[in-house]
Amino acid sequence: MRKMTYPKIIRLILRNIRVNSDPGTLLILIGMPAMFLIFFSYGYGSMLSSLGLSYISYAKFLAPGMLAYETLIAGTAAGSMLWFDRRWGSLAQILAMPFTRTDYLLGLILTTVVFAIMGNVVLLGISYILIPGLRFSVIGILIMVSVLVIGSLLFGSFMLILASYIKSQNAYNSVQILIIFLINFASTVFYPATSLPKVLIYLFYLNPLTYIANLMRDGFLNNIGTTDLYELILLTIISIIFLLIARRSYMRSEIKFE
Amino acid sequence: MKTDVIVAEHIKHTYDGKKYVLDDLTFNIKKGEVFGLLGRNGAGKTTTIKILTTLILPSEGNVNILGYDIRKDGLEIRKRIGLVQQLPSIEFTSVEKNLDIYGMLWGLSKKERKEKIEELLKIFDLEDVRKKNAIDLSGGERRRLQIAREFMHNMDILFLDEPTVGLDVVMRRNLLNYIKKLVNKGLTIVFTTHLLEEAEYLCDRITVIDKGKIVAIDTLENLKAKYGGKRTVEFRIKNIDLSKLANMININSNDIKINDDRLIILTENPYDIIEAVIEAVKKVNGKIEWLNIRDKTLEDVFLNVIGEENDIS
Repeated sequence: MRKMTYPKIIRLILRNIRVNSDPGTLLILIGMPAMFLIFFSYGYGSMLSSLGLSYISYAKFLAPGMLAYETLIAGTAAGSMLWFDRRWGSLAQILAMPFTRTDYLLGLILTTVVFAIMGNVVLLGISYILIPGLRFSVIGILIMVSVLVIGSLLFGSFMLILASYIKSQNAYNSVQILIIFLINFASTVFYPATSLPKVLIYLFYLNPLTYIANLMRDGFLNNIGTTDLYELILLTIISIIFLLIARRSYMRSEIKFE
Repeated sequence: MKTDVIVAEHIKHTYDGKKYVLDDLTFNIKKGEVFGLLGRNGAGKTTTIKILTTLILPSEGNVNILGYDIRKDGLEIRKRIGLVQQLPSIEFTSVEKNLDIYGMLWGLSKKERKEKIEELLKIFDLEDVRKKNAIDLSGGERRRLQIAREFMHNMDILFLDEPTVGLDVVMRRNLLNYIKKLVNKGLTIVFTTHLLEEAEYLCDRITVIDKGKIVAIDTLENLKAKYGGKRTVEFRIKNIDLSKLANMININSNDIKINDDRLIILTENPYDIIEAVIEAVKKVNGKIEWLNIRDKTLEDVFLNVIGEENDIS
């Protein structure tokens, strides 16, 4: 009888991390939000304060936004990994091993959670440097961790749905870039929604990243209220729905094996 | 008596719901057997492998592998099989890491992986490129890595879908010999190839598939006897008119061919023909400089079987 070292989902996550831990991927997954935080905090922060618009420091506003943005960026890794594994035969190879298709799917999505955690640890480290006297409450940390996991599941599932339906890798890459752009800039990651025209405010609040950013910000600034609980429940429900759709679309798309 | 490790009954498969790419395949494979699947491109070999490795389920029919039903026990089956796909399949990381990741996926401990990696790097001549990223390897090196990786774990059945494509002659022979060694230890192999001499070297039994149907299935000897046609005896004879000589030998003119100074005869009984030719050559004071008997090959079998089905001549 073969000795199994780790449970199979853990083995799949370890494989995904090892295969995708090249400097380029890590730079995009972890380095990019960190660079946004550093450069935008200094650049826009000084600009906003000179205009007298900052009610808090921009770094303090942007840091939780970047923690939220990290869930979106990590989520894109799930779709890319699926494409890459399909293109280079690893998907068929893994599915000819003692793993189910659901194992593989969960492996991809949980890998995005791990990447999001790694990115958030880096971002928190930078935040401590940029924001003097930063302190967190236990409930704030709990909210941030929950949002991080739920947000990565949501975007990981969303990107897997896209990867399952889009037939060419180039088309997938283009759609992914467009979607990242739209989701990112139609959210409260970089700026608050309050000063926007009404039409745009509706658009912002149809975007799950807005809720993720708001929750992250409330947890980060220890500004937690009952609305956060409702938003968290809503996000959890949306994530579960996306996960189920991702599983269904992925299973359907893989019946015709390339 | 050896037990059946694969029993396939009336497998049919369609991808589009209209055209059957596999049409009523029935066969069994015994433990420790090397079972060859031969056929032209698109004959259905790879689809058969995909079904047997549980990557896809057949549209109709039953398959039992190692006592497990393919429809219910895919996971149990996959614990005991290995697959080298026809398409390249590698991770874009170093050769060593590729092997290590694969061993880790199979649940091998770090120590087991380390030992196995050293052994396989040596067998598959990958020691010099162990630190190289797989993306920078040559086609042959990548193929070697892909095959080596499959031997990281123990298995009962190994499916090899055209494994030697891109390998040089030496490496190809090394691989076939390595497989033979493992077969002697009880491994069962299901093997597809376009290189018929490979199948001849390795396979105990061969199935020829054409347009999704089995058109021949038997041991190599039986296939040759049944479909191999006649053997070829070739003579190089000097100083005589070969057409006159041909008339002196009591044989159907369709079975004789003259090519410059060569007399080529197709026959079921080469030794009787050699005697008859020697006698005839003596009578006309000729001289046989050289003669050769060519055995029936799998290629003859293949061409005859596929030719019958496709009117190849």
